[in-house]
Amino acid sequence: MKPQPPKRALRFLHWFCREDYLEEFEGDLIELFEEVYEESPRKARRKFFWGVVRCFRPAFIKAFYKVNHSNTTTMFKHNLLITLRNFKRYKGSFLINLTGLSVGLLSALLIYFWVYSELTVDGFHETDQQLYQVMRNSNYGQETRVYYNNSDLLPDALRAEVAEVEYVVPFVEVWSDVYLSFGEKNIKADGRLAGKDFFKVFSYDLIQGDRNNALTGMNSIVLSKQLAASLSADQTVEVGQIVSIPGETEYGTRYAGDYLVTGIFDLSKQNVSEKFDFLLTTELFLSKRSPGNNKWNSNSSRVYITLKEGTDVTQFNDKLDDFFRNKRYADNPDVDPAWGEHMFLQQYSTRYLYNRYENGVLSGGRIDYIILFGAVGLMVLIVACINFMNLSTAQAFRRLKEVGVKKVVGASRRVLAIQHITESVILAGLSSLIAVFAALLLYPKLSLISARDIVIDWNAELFVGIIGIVIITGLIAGSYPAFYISRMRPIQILKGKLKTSLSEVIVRKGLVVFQFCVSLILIITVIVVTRQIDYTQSKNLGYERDNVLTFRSEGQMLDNYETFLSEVKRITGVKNAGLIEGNPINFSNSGGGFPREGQPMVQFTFARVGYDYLETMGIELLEGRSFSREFANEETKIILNETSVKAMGLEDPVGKVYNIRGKKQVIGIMKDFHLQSLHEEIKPSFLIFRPEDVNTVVIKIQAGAERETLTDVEELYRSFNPGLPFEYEFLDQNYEALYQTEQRTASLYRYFAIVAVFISCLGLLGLSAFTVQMRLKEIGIRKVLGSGVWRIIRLLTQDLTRTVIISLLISIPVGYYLSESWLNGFAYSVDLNVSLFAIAGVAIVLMAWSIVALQAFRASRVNPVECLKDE
Amino acid sequence: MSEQSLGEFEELVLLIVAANNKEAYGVQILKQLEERLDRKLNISGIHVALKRMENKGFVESSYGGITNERGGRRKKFYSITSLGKKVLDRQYELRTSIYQEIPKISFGQ
Repeated sequence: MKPQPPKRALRFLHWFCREDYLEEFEGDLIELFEEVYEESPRKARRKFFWGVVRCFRPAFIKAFYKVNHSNTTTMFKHNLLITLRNFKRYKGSFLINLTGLSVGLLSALLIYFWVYSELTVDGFHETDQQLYQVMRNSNYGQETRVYYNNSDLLPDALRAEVAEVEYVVPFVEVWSDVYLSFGEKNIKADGRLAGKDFFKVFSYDLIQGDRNNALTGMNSIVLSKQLAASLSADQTVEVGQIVSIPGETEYGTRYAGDYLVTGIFDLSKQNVSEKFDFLLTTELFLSKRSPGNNKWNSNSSRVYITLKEGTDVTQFNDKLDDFFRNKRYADNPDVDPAWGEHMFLQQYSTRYLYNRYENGVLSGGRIDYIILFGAVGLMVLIVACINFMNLSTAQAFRRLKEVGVKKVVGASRRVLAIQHITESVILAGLSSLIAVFAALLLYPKLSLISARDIVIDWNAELFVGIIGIVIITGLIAGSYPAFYISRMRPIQILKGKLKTSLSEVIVRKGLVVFQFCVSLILIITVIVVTRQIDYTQSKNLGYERDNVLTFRSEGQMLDNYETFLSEVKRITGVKNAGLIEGNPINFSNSGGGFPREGQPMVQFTFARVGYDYLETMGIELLEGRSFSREFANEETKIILNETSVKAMGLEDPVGKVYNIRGKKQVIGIMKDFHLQSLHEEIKPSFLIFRPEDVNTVVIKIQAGAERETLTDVEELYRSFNPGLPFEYEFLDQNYEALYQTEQRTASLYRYFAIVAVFISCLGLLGLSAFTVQMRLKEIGIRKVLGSGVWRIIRLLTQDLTRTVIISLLISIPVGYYLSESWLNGFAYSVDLNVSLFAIAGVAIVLMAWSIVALQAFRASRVNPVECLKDE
Repeated sequence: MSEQSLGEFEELVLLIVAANNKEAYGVQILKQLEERLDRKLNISGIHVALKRMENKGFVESSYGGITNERGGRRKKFYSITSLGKKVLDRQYELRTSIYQEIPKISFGQ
């Protein structure tokens, strides 16, 4: 056996040496090696190594990167030209691909904007990592409830006694309407009261005033930019000026007076969860509250704190809880630790997304919607990509000859891949351009359908996201077809013997099935959501909600309500008018009671009302009577609803006296009606009579005469309260507001479902056109042999029918499960019946079938001569 | 001019190529040179000279047939071109003419 030169040296030589020199060098080196080997193998090896190393010089090293500028540009030009020609030649596929991908990408981008905006809510505060809200839960019975409000003793105690706390900011909501006036103008505004460190802790944009002491004086007020601009007709209110809260209104009696403007803030450019128009100081609040509230179990203030850096929150939670319980149960130190009220922290910026507590445990909230839409967006994008891939690979068959000829002439796989990548990338790029522009145009409209203003901070992170989505989509959609095409073998192509492998068929069919499933699931869930929304709108709620006008009774009207009511009833379009406390479809009071000895506690919701509430609202009485002017001492009477009667286990209660908020005689039983939304079960509730404590007027107006009646009512209102604006609501709007989230979600959801279905249809259209194209010869032969149009259509659609049936089998259970879990959130919901799935199934089968059948029909009409002549 | 230039080592290699016309190849050139110069050379040096001169057009090359020697690699044979011959001639003339101008000096002990 001949001596072998060292392999490693040879490999090295092969790696670097120019191809045209390689053989000669190698030969010479080996010849020398063999010669020297005779005397000493070691020397020979050494010399061989050395020879190789000495050959490692620039002149002999091969070019690892063949940079030849003129050539690349020509190739690029050539590719571009071919791409454009192909777009022109196959306009149909081009348009389908372009539209599908653009629409998919557009929806994905819009969802991305929305999700991004939602995820960054409240995250802009500089103190974000240290900023927490103090939460409280209470566990007296089986259920733990979570409260956002705490005692107003807490802030000072925290500040003084807990070392880890840096700032404490109490924050109090004003639970009623407040009017602000500047000169002549009176404006209703949404206010809060905040602690003095508010602007130090929260990075809200303070455009005028001093961050450190804007809220220090008892009579300081900080206004929003919008409010400052609208308070005066001809100028903007500025720092140093005086605004006042007039005394006539309900709330004014407490805070009436003059206030010095110490700051102007602007929330419009910041991504905030909570908007308000003005801030007063909590000092003011504390000075005005009734001393009875000065207790550790009261709940008047939200409390925000910042922790010093490096504080461990879990440990701090325990400390905080101990601290609180020592105060709260100071007179009862042996209280069971599991029982009663506990305190814990929630990071401020997470409150917006995570605000639902189930039995004291955080269980999501808005984040669920974000995940839902994120998933929908991803689905739509995937469907669009799949479409693109399917169509491009399918279309590639049409260009087999081109690829084959090129390969035979000597195009390498690389060159072909580059050509097709160029093509896919150009298409994906075009789509991206369209999608990005459309998204930038459309995203402000998102605010219309989402419940909140979309505020987008255009930072690098966001752009990276956008570019990422576009590039990844482009790569996924573009590169697969390109590699697929360039892999094909020229001889087979030119012989016309190309057969798609089984795995390819499975993949392509699988992708189509997947598309169908996504579309079907979306269709099913959209139908369910729509039905449920319709159901909430049409369900007989037990009261009439059309043409019912509600507004606040305040100012002069409060004292003269009887006069106002009798005058309002005289207006021609008014059918009836009554009074109730708070929201007429959401009783504002709740409380437990033991109306009968030895019976379990019943949780009631109740409202104080005046005369004619039941009559105006059209609530039916099953037994007894309503409150009436014909009887005296109505304050000691009570009207129950059916559920209360059941919950208390009463039999024939009318006329009897029970202990419900004092001894009360039952005078009537109302038929159950839905208070709150249909998410909630009907609760035991009752009405008591206290017209002087009541602040909302409800007026039933004759249908068709709304406008004139409204003007008359407004005129009457003005004669009572000349300075105050007349702000009214219609009950049906009020009712719809209960379903705002559902409705907005539903409409958003519907859009994306339509998009997904649309894209799937486009895909199907493209694919079926392609299948028909591929089988044109077969069809021609069949026709020549006497096959009819219908036979051919059936032939071409039977494959599809199978696909659709498989998709149905997969998506119906999934759709059922998803719908079921959504409907579980409602106490009253539509039934999921077979017809619903049948509708979805039939719809998609019809749609798919008609698309394919149309193509098949066209194909079956082709003259066989046309498609057979080139053989 | 630089294309026409011929380094000293290149000249030697070119002379060998010319002397072994059409039979010269790497290892052989190396051996003859080593013999005549009486010193060890590296094959890569020969290759450098050959490739340079090939680029300048002084030599041309062609592959021989496949043999069982050299691990089956073909030999690459070099031959001088007419341009190479001309350059050699000019070089030779130049040297001789200068040489002949050397005065007859006696180099004393």
